[in-house]
Amino acid sequence: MYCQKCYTKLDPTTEFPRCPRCGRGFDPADPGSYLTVPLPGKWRIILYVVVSTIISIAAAFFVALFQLRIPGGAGGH
Amino acid sequence: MADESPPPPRPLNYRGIQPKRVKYVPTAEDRRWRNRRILLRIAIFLVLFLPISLYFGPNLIMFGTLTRVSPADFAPLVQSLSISIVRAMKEYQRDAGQLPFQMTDLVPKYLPNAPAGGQYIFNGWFTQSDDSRQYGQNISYDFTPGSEGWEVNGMFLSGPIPLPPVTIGPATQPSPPPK
Repeated sequence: MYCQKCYTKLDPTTEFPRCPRCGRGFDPADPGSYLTVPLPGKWRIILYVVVSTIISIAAAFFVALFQLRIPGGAGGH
Repeated sequence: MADESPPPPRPLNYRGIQPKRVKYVPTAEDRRWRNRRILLRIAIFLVLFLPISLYFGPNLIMFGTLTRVSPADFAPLVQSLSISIVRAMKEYQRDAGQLPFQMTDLVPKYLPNAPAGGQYIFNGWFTQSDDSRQYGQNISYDFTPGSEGWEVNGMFLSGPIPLPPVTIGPATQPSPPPK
């Protein structure tokens, strides 16, 4: 049982279950409120994918621009 | 007599962040999982970044196709812009016995109007080079018997375009050679 925010190991036996590191609360009876392994959850993975895709598309424009500006390419014409 | 009922339970509010910070010392196991998370982030980034930024993206931006551009991708461009000019050149050659020296030789008998630009005749070759979709690629037509056909050359690829040579019908009436 791990914190969804900071991946710290959680203790479900406390009276008011909270992450000892960041204070994020969780419900031991609700599997959606904590992680079973200290790896990013579904939504955080989706966020990584979206951000990586946006960065990649921006980089693709720069790569295309660079290729077109190579002497002999269309940029040099 | 004092009311000894217990205080109402505090809301759990487990999705809210109410920091109750303590000094947390990560264990060796925590550090191992942290390294795995970093590797996972790097892997996701690289798996997306490398193909999109270096392959699919530039191909899509420059040529409108996700995969590497091939000579066959230039076939629609040839069919839409160049075949009529080469056909006119071959008709000129049929009538005059030689290829035209310049585009204006074809107007108005073989072409109603001179091409807008970017098409050239040079030393028995037809070349088209300034279309914005080609990005430095030159489309040529080789009139040499035996090797006649379309080619594309440039910084991104070179090779024959898989289109049949342009053919024309025989002259229906004798024509004097153009001046």
